[in-house]
Amino acid sequence: MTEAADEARWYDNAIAEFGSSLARLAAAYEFDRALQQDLLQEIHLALWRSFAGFRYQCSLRTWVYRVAHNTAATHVRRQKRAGGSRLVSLEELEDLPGESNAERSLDESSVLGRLTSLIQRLKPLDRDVMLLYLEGASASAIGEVTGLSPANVAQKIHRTKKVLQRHF
Amino acid sequence: MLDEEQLRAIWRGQTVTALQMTPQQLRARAADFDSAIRRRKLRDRVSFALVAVIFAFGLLLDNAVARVGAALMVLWALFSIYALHRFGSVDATPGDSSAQACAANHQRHLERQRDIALSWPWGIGLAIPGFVLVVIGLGAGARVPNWMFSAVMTGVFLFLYIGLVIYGKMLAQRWQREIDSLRSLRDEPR
Repeated sequence: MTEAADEARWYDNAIAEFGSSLARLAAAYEFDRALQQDLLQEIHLALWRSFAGFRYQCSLRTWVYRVAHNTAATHVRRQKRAGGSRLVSLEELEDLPGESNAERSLDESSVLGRLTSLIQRLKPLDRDVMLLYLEGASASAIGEVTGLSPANVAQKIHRTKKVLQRHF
Repeated sequence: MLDEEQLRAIWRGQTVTALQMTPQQLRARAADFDSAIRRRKLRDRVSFALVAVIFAFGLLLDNAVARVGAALMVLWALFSIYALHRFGSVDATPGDSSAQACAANHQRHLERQRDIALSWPWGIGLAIPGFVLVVIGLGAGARVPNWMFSAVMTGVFLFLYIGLVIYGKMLAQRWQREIDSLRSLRDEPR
């Protein structure tokens, strides 16, 4: 099979398996629907191009997430350059008061809306950790995607859990 | 209160529009992206190539001083094209690098842009000897030495030089703001 055919096959496999995750990632990084679609297209393009260098150095899942998260983080930096709002770390978010039990709505769409806006306030690296955690990635997979040490991943997961407990 | 499994289920259960691009669409987008980069690189090089060509005509002048000046200007323009090629680009980070490696490479790219903008006084300053010799040669080489012409040309050059140096400083400050902003996004211990 030719290299181009391999790349097309990997791209098809990646989209079949992780297409929905990528769409959720774009939704978490961009509120505006039109920009969300642009970001998603950018991620697909980056992914397609990246497969020229894919030789099973890591799992397909890690590869897809790395490329997607890097593309999305670049998007955030561009937004920040254009004067976007201040982003906070997990630590800062942990210190912010959550809503009281009475104010919290457990309605799914309300929870999803609050979760998305919480994620969009985070700095890219912390955003990556929270998204991967919500996607069900293991600590080692989060470490592989972000490049963080196991100790840092553990600390960030711990903070992510505390933030989620406080706000939901 | 929702537990983590419920939150994960809500997150993964959200309705999203997945996307599947055809190879033709992907190739077309990639080609657009590549040609935009090629155009930008070409524009920079063509500007200096034009300077080299214009001053190459100066090599045909009668006056020896002007010819030496023109030769220096041609060398300066060619060196600038080389410098753009050698120092103007940063190795791209492989798309599959970790998030940290990607951010670090982006920061290096911004720092390189800032340093290039700060080096403009030297880079453009290297053109001064050649330009001054051309202007003196043209002024002195006229049938009646035309020092007014030399003075006006030197004034124009100095005006442009000072303007570009100030613009370079402004650009460097802008890159620095971006570097600071990037640092604020990744200011945590690793």
